[in-house]
Amino acid sequence: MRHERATEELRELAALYALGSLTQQEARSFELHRKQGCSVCETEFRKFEHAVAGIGLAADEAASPEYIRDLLAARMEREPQTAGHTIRSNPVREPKPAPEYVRPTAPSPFLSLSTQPRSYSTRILPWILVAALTVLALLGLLAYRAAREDNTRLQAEVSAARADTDDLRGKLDNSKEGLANLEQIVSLAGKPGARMARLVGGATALASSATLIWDTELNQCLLLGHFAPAPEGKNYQLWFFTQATKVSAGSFKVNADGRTLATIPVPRDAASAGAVVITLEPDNGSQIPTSPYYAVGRID
Amino acid sequence: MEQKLHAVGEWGLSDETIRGLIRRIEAGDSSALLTLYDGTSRLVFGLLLRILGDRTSAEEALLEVYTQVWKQPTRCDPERMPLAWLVKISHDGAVSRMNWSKRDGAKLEIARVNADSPTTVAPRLQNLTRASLQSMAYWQRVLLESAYYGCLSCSELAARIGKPIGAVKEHIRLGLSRLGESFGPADGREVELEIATGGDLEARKSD
Repeated sequence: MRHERATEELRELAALYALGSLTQQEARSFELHRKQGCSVCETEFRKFEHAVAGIGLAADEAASPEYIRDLLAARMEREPQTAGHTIRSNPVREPKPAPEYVRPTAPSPFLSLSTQPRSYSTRILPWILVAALTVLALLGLLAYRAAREDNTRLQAEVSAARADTDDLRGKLDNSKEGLANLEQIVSLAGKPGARMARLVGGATALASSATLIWDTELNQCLLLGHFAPAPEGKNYQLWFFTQATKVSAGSFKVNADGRTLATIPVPRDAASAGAVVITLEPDNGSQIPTSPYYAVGRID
Repeated sequence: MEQKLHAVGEWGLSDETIRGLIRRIEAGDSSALLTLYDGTSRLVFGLLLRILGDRTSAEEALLEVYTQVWKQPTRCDPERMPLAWLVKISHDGAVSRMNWSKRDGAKLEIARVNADSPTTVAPRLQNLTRASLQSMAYWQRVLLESAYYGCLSCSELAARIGKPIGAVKEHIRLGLSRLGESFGPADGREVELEIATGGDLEARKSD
């Protein structure tokens, strides 16, 4: 429907449309009406649009920074003009996506500028590069940290494996030594002419015990047993007791567990010995037992 | 560094001068755009600053406005006032930049236009519109400026001043009619009109 003349209601509608203060529905309706070619409404709208611009003309002036002019000059060199199309009449305007009303504005020059491919790409390119470099740097950092963590983990595993190996090697050595000792004991115990003595702890060493196997052919004995660790400055000393004398066979040591497995030469003058005794003596040994018997056993 | 005043005469740029510059811009003359910028950017920047409220946004918007003029000068209707077109695309651009939170927080207040504020772009036209606005009834001017600078709808304006929406619409229509009459027809032919200066604005708050 086209209007024949302007009414107050129509003028009000045109005024509010020009100012952008209509609701979305009202603005669309008026816009559609204009599109249909109502010259009365178009004229009213033009008048009010002109008046609206007057509000802007009354604004205080303000000096802009000089660099904006320089930027503008640089932008003109960089960006070509758009192939023009003169808009002689007010263009059909898309309402803004406002919740309550629509501003009857032409498609925003800001939005259209922001979608210019060249301008956009020129502006966005450095940011893309910065973002890409940042991502690469982050990935590199993550890879480095992951590699470092792997390396640390592997080194820990290698160290643990080495420790396990050393432990196993020690156990193997111990096993080999134990086997050798066992073979020696078995061999010695089964040897013709071998003599044995089982020693038991005295009053001060009830938990101690030992076995002595004497190889009369080689004049040496194997002493194996368990004793308390010797006190500081003291050592265990082995004695062969004959009817007439007490013959020292020397000192021997026990390990930290109190165990001992020692091959000890037997003096010739102890050949007739019927008993063995162990005493605690000073480190450098004694000529005769100077302390109570620590352990004693009869030689069979 | 603040902008220097480039080649702006005592009487600013006439419509014909601006139309001539736009024709040269259409022909690809970049110096014409810089001349237009020198002659009009103070007004455009002031407007953008008023709407957007911060210099950074206003500076970005200012650059975009003149880039738009450079890229699409043919959008200026030669039958209409070219400065009004420039003001319109500046306002549209600023509104499109204005975020909704700022719009929601827009206050109802009259722009504190400094009476001594210089008018260098189109002094006669600027003074005419200022005088017209100052002559309006208090609420009429509040409503017009709040709608224009704050992008407030009729219903929002009505809610904020506590008056019926019909009254708000009426105020706006009358205000715009008066403003339009004060500075001439839309085709840019300026006419001399008697502007009622109206007296003390504060005394009109009860209108």
